Amino acid sequence: MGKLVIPGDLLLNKPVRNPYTYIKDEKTFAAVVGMFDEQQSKFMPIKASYLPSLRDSVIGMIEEEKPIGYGVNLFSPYHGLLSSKSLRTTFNVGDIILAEVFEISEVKDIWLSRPMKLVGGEIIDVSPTKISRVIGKHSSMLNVLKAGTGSNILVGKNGLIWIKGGDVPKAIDAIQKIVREAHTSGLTDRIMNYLNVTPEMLEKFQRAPQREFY
Amino acid sequence: MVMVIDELKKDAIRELIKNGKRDDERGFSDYREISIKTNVISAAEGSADVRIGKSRVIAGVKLEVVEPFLDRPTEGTLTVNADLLPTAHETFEEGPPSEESIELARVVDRGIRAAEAVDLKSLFIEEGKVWGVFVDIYTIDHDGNLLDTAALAAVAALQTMKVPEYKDGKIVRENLTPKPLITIPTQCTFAKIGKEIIIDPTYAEELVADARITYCVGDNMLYAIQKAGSGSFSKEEIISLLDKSFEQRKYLLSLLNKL
Amino acid sequence: MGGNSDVPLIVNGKRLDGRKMDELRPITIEAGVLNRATGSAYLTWGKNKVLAAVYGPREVFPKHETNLYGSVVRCRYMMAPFSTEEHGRAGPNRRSREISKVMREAFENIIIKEVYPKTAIDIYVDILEGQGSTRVAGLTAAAVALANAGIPMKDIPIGVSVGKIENQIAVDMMKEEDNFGQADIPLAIAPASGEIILLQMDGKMTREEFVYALDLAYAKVDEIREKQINALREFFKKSSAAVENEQDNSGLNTIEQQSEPIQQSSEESDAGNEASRNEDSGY
Repeated sequence: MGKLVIPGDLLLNKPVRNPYTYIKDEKTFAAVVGMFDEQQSKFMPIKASYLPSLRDSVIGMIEEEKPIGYGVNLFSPYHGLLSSKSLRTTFNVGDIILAEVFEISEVKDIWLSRPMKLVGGEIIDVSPTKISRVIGKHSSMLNVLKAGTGSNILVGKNGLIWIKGGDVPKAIDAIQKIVREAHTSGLTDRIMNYLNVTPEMLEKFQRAPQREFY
Repeated sequence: MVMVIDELKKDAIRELIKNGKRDDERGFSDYREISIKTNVISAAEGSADVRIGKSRVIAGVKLEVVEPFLDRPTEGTLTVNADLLPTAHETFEEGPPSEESIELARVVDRGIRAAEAVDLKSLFIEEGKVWGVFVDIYTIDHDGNLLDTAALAAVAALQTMKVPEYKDGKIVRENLTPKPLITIPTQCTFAKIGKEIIIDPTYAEELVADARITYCVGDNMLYAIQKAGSGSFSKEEIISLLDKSFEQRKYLLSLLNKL
Repeated sequence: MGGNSDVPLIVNGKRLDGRKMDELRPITIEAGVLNRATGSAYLTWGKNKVLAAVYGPREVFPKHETNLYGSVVRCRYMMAPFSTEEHGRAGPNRRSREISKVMREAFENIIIKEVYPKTAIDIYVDILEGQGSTRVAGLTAAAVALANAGIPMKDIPIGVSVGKIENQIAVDMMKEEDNFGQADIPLAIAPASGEIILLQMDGKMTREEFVYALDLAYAKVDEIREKQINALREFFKKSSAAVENEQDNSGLNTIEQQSEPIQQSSEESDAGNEASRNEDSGY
């Protein structure tokens, strides 16, 4: 499974690049508190701020109208920017959007594309390092969540999760459980149990065209 | 006059230091030229104008009659202040004291106070009245190591201080009695650049330094230490620099004993 | 520092609180005590009570302080007006500003600033009750708060003080020893490298006494570090569930495969969002 490591703990005897570790004397050390699985060489930070990557989906709030377009609050150390050039719709300050990171400038301005306005629903905020767990391999976990709650769920790599329709409290509850148990294995099965999702239900859900109710 | 811009010298200095050399061809354990002039301000009861290389500090000592501290009713008081004047460097701004100036004043004060250099007990006048010694450090030109320049100026000014007479409730500044220090503390500042350590850094060397450490010592006695900067020191380095401070003391004392 | 011999600091070989010369006061540390701050820690050390909070990495205000290539580290140490026997004035003073500076410099040594350029990491250390050696207690707490906040660091530093009372070298100076002792040395050590990142001294000590004092400080590093590690471990236990393990590690990212930040590859994760994306405007 793994053990809790703290900054300065040795992880590997060879150098590996990763923003949550550092290299010294050709060895890799933890830079943040996290769970380290030595056998599988996996490191999951407990908490860390979002670092953008190209093609990340993120959820944010329109914060400012600018000459170039819009400033977007991503609730992370860096801001998003939307260029109005290729936009088909206009936005208002306060609008919540889902967008994709299409360029990261040298000074970490996050240029966004393909914005989609999200109306209603509820937003929760988890550590960006737990997001991949909420999604699961090939969206396996996300599908379990959707199948078990009937909700529409959109996940931002910056840690924001948008939930609408279906049983929202149940979805939030299940996501909190995932976040708490993120460092463990067998989690997908446990969440399926938790939400009473059978393998058949899941298969049916995955094969069926995604019902979109907004 | 042609001046080379210090900020542009950073890489050159790093290279030099790595190769065991300094920009002004000094050794790693050499001070720049030091000059000390005392009694330069006649309105003050003690004063000194000290230069280390191109750094220059004027220290003035004024004595006033004050109330003693409650827990030391028969002792004089000592207050050390420092002003990093905008005069001294383009990066010194007007306004409330910067943390650098606060640190400088407190470090210089600490060394003198811990050494008990000033004979405070002899500054008692009468009940409720003692001499308050006010040392003000005016930095007027900054080319690095203001700490040692200021410490030397403060000590030199105090060493040549003269106490006025207090008679019939009035200060008579015409009648002065010399009051040399009972101990003379000496202070040394070192800068660490990469793995090398040099004494008495210039401004350009300070820009490149990862860390700095200052020792105030007496005869076989350590009075104060202040480490600054985001670099680190090993325990061995800390001890070895203390030894270097004792070595330098002989030289610095020889300058102060000439006053 | 006074060396005032009117106040006895050692009675029958013991210090005023019954400790031996090489004994630390009791230390407790709790991590993640605040809701709003990114990371936090509450520490008691003898009668000292310290609250450390960390915000960041976050946008830098005022903007002109921004560093394009790394984080700017800022630190504020303050003693609350009610923290000492005499009422103190609120707000920073010369002493607290100097302490803030040396603390900040210690943290600048161990925080890996390149990970989040153009951001600020703000460290707030508040002494709620002060009883000797508050700056090293504050640093020890802030180190835990930084780890709790997920700020990338090389190491978790510890703070400790050593000094001289009645000609004997002692560790962990309490208030009376600070005030009436013969020398006081606050330090911070980065355990991984063994290097000193904060060091001040005030008083009268021979070279031999100083070397002995340094050694004594180093001897206490592990004991203090244990407390920090336990605090982080307890926080983890509280905020996660310890569940028995199996094989399925889907979602955990292999440290090997990444040459870039820990994220799943785009196809895997975006599949979830893609399906809902067919609308092109709000709904």
